[in-house]
Amino acid sequence: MPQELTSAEPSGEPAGGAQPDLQYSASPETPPSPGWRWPLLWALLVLVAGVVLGTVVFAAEQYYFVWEPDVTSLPGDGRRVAGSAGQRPTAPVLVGDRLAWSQGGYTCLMELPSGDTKVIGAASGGTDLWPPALDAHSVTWLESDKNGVDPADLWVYDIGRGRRVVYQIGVGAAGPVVAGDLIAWPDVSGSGVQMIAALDLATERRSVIATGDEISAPVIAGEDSVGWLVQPGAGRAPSFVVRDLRTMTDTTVPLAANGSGLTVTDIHMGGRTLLWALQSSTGTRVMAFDLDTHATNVVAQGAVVQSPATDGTVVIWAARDGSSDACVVMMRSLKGGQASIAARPQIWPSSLAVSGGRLAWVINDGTWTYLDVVKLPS
Amino acid sequence: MKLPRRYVPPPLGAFGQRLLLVLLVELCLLNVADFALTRYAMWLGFATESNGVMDFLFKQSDVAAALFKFTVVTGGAVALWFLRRYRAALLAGVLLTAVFAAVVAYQALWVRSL
Repeated sequence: MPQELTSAEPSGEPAGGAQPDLQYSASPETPPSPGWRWPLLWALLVLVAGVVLGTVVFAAEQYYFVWEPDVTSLPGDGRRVAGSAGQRPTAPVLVGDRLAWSQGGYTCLMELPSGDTKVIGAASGGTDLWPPALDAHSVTWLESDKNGVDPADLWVYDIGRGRRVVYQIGVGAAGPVVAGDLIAWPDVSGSGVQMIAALDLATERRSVIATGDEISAPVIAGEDSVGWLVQPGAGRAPSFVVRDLRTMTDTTVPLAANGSGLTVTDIHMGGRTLLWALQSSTGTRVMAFDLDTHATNVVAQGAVVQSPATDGTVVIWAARDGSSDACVVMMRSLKGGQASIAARPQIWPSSLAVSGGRLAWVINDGTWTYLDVVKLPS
Repeated sequence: MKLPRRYVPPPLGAFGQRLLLVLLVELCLLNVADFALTRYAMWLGFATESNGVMDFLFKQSDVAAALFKFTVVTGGAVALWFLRRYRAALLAGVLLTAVFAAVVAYQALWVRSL
């Protein structure tokens, strides 16, 4: 601001007194300095207006255009996911306090204690979405080209970091599984041979861990282990090969006797237990193989036994309630003891999962499909 | 016949020039925040760069993308400062800062929702 050297106003002292000092003062014609306060406040106002605009746009987009699963609470800390045509929840996977599932083209993850749900995957058009696999650290799922032309997208979501990475893998890839740092999936080599391909998440190195024409889906993961089905020729029963990822040794588990005529279904691994069902014309037996002791036990059997599952400590299955048509979910500890009723779903469940003292099932009333998670009785 | 006089707005005063300076500083800081949030959302795997030029530069390196983005916006801010005697410079500063603030607020909320 320009300032002039001027004389001071008359002091009113008598003439002949001391001469007034010369000093600086503002000229009356010069406007006062505007200072910085008002420019700063106006700039802040512009900033706030922009932030409000961005917030309103975000809220409107979330409300009108962003899909979220319909999650409600059930009595006893339970959770229910509901969906109807095109958005039905399927393929629940329970591990500890987390639930992963597919719904329409979406892959979702829920923290069960809080009910916080994230949509971690949205399949693009023209792809088939494979069900998710879950372990304590990651969720993985596959989107494969409907026409079988383009490579499949293997997605891996790191739960701790909230980060997802996509890897392009073979055209013939199918449902992946995760066991610690290892992702494995069935695939077909360039020469048309069946194989089990793998990706090490720590090093991002890819490998083929098994190959052969008898190898078949599903690939299943347990604690520090990955296994796959081996379907030999006609007349020979299938077996399941489990690779221990700590010792890199294989254990082959015969699932049925050769020529028995039994049908093998519902193969699961939970902890260090391999579980499968053997169906005959008279009923179903649920078998459990302990990967540490190599002992095989019949853990459930009956005329109507469906959808068995295990987490390595408990086995659950759906069964008929006495002579009625009603359904009960039964449970039995792998340590021994009698089977008991775990829950009474209103409708026969299409799939069951168990982990961390919780039980999940999918039921369909014709219009709506519900994915329910309830606590196991203690 | 007398032609009507063309209106010439008075030049931007000291207040307007100071406001423009603060807005341009805000704009540059918001540009840095926009870059950081975009890069973070891409690292999380939930976003892709829709700007073709930036997408190309991100594929080269983060430094190349950052240099380009910071140069363009800072250069624009310096150009507006040289044009500060015009009121249009202040209007441009207000609009650019408000839009950038909206974009950054939207991005921050979106990243938080992931």
